[in-house]
Amino acid sequence: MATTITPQDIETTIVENLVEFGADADAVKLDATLESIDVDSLDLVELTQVIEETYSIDLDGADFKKIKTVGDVVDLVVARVQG
Amino acid sequence: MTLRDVVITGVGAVTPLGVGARTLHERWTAGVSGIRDGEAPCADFDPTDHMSSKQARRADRSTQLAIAAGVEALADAGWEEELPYDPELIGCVLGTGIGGIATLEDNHDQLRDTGPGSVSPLAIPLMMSNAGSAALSLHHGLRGPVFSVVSACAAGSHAIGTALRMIQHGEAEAVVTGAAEAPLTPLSRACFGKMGALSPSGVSRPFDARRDGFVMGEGSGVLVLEAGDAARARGAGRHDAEDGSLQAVAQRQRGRAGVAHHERDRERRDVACALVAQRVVVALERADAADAGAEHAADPKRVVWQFVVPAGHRQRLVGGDHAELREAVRAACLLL
Repeated sequence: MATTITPQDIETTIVENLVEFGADADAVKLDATLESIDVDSLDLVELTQVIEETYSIDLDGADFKKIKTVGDVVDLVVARVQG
Repeated sequence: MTLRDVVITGVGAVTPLGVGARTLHERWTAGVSGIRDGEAPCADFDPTDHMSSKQARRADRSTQLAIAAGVEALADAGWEEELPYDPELIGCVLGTGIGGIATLEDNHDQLRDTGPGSVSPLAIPLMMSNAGSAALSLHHGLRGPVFSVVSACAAGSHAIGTALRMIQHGEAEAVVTGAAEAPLTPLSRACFGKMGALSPSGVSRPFDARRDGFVMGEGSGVLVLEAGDAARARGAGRHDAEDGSLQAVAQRQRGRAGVAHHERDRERRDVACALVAQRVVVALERADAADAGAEHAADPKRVVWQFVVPAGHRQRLVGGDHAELREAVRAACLLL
């Protein structure tokens, strides 16, 4: 199953969920910082929960230490799913 | 010690009769009932009419109701543009009986069905009993004392009393206060039903010979209380001018504190109280025993309605009516 997941799928999942959490759809771009689109630590914990369930991977708090932008989140998940 | 006087400068409500305090008043005085199929939901309420989707998502229904009532109350007080006092001096005290029980039930379902990994990270901030006051204070930037009062069906009254005293004693310049509850959930229905508190007929009839329990509902009412001198200085205090209710309560409290030291007065009042209570209870018993439609039952009930604090919520529990009535009469007498 993992082989069929593309980086685009992952990006779509992440963007859709951030919008569902209340972020402005037009503002959720890969280079947007999480702070600028009002994504806080609780949103990240929820997003982690969705990602873990969707892609059967484990993430922990340390993984998000260097995360600043939406693109950083996508890169992290892509690396984990493909790794 | 001189206590500051306190005025109501804003009101807001979301109730089964509709959204808005004025709507509540108009429909209530017109005799409209908010009960549908044995319950009283706030059917007209759509949270996203009053807050962002993110805020709505991060709030249990009880908190959503409080936020909407709070927005109305603050606008009514003229606080829409900016807060009239230092935010550190504006408190927020809301009452609730249970808090976010819908959130608790949903998360317990998740825990039972799919394990601890699937409960929501938002569960605690949504279900905690102080979620309403926390959300209101965050929404409006109120940075004074913020907490909730939890005391069953008296929580709203206790919250308002606490807010009143905070201003009277100079702890805050203003306090946003009131209550919120959203208990129309499977567990809550089952539990109130099991204790025999719910009305089988689905009709709410406080102090009525045919009363057979209470009807569950949901809603929120929020008041903005301000120190009278500060409110008048900024030209507010409209509600106080209309009904003077909190002023009157404060005056009664002062009077009560003054006479409580005179034991003889107190004894006389207690005796008078007991007599009044006894008569009212006898009248109620007579009404209870009589056929509901009987003419002679109407008068004592009207007396009860007019002279006893209409605070009873008529649980079906044996003796609940009379015990509550006796205490209401006693409380009313103490304030005379």
